[in-house]
Amino acid sequence: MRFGTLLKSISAAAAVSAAAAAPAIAESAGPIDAQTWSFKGPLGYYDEMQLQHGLYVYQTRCQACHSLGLVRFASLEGLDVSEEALKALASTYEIPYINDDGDRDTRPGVLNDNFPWALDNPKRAIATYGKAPPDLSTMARSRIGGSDYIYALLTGYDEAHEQPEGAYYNKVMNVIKMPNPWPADMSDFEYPDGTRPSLDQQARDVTAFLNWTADPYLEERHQWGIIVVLYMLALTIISFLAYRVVAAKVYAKLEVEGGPDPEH
Amino acid sequence: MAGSRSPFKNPLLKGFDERLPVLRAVHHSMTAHAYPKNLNYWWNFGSIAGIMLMVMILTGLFMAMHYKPSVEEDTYGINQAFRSVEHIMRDVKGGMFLRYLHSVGASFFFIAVIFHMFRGMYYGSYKAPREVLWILGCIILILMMGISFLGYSLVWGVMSFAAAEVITQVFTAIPVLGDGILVLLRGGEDVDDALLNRFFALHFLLPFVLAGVVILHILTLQTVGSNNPLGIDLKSKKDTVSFHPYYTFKDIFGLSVFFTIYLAVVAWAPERLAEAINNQPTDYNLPSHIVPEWYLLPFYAILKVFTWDLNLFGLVITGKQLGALAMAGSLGILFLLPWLDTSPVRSGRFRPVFKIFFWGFAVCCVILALVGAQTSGEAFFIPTPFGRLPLGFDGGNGFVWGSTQQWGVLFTGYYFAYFIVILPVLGLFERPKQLPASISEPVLA
Repeated sequence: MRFGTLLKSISAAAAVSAAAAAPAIAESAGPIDAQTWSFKGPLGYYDEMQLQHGLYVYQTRCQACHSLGLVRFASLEGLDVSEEALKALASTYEIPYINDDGDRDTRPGVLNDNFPWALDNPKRAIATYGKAPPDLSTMARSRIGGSDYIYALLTGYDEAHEQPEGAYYNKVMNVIKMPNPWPADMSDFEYPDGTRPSLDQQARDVTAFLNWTADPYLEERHQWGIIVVLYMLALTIISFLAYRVVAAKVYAKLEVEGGPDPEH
Repeated sequence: MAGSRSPFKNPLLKGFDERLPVLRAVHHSMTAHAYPKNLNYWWNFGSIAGIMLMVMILTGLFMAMHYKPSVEEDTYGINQAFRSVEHIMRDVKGGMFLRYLHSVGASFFFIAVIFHMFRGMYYGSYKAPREVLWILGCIILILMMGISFLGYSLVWGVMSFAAAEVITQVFTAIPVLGDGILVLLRGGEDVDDALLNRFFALHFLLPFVLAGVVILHILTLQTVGSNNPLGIDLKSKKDTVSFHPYYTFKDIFGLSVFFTIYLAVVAWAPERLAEAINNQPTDYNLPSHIVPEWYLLPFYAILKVFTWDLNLFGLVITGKQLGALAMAGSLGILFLLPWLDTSPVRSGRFRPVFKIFFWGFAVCCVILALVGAQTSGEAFFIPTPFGRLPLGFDGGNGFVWGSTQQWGVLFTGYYFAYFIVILPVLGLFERPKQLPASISEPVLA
């Protein structure tokens, strides 16, 4: 078996197994178009300004219902926000706790806290909405299409379409419990830095932010990948050459004296 | 060996070896055993699989230091097991790499073992005197399937719960004892904390059992010797090389190629081979479409294609029992392979008709994997980079021609026929090509 054939077989097998996994879970009703993201591709990276904008959209449009229960305020330094600003951000949240008198109380958040949930707990969420709005920490990893799925869902509302009873129409899911997060008039909306984003831009920014919450070490992994794969390619070449040298010597010796006794 | 003299010149090595002769045992096994000189690259996968086992044990060990097997939910509705996995990914130094090396590593461990087994099946490595070697390999495969299922459950995501629920349920197909086994596996009636804790304990223990079987596998290999692409016995010293340095260097090269691909997947597509929905903590509802990890799909297909009951003169075997029997049988029959193949010729290279059926079997396994991934009643299709290639269509009145289930029954049939009919009969009628007199002959001629 030639080496080239072997390599082809490996990549073919990987493709087959990947393809086998893919259709199994594609259940969504509508089309999910692939979008351009800065974090896609082997050199993909996060645009910190976009993530900060996305955080702001999350705060204005998502966090009234959804939680980010796996995301610590301290980890937002990955958005290129200063520690002082993060402390200030954390302190704007009320964290439930039991005080020294044993009573339920709230205190301002600190860096080590996770984003609190406005609905506080699943039972209240179900009592309020009939169904708990899912935690968004890993959302970009837990749906086929990932960020493309989130973007398609956020931009998939169509008020002109017939609305199902007690729910909303969305081209991704047809029937969705989640109301359209975008108000009809957003002419006054602006980011803290003064820029005025379109709805489409807001959807992209919050999607990028949710991709970051699901995969905060993506850049590290990509950089690691480039170094490791370059190293492995070099090792592959060197080990191949070493193998050829050793093989030539072993063959030469084999002609003269042979190998170990097969009867041994 | 104990009576032999130390092969080392270095005084430190020599002195140590004379007091504890483990080094000479390693040296002996690397230099004194006769290996065929003509092993091709398909023979690399054995050592690759061994290295992958070490990668899995090491990454797993360090993750076990941070993992919490608890289903208790916090105020976000996130269970502690899931949270601890995310804690590894987010807060533990290098934890994201550990986790992805482990989860992607499971897939690549299976890729190595699958190539290793198909190589053995093509070149007849299971035939005498290597029956025990093959059987130990089958035990390794079954242990791996069990261990990977246990590990997948530990995440306690949506699919973890579904897998634990559905797979433990399979054992209730066993008459009389089934319900007792279910309680034993789950640690109670329900899929709950007790199950998760014992799954963690077993997921930690069984890899070491696996490593033990691997050691027996290697000991057997060193006793009966490697098969080779020609499938003929070693005749003289002209046919042999020692493992070191020739195969150590060849294995390092093969390992480098394999690890380049493995680490690239870890870096750029760590979730590609996994079920996305398992990145969401379970809410104890079964998802509408349940699929196991890709490497279990062919066996899952055999489990699920039986939807009808069999009535044997009043003794009714339910579809569920048939499926469980068939799945157990599909693994059990691998153990009988050395005796089902009646051909005296080992290598498929000299068996023109066998070759066709062998590649048919390889295709069969891929088709069964696709069947395992798709919905039973719907039209079957083959996913390609250019879209779906449909192999079925709606015949009207709710009947589908070429449904996933029909294709599944067909290829489950081929799977068993390969072992029970094709291999036994082929050995009697096939006319093999002329075998070379020795390994050296085709090289010298």
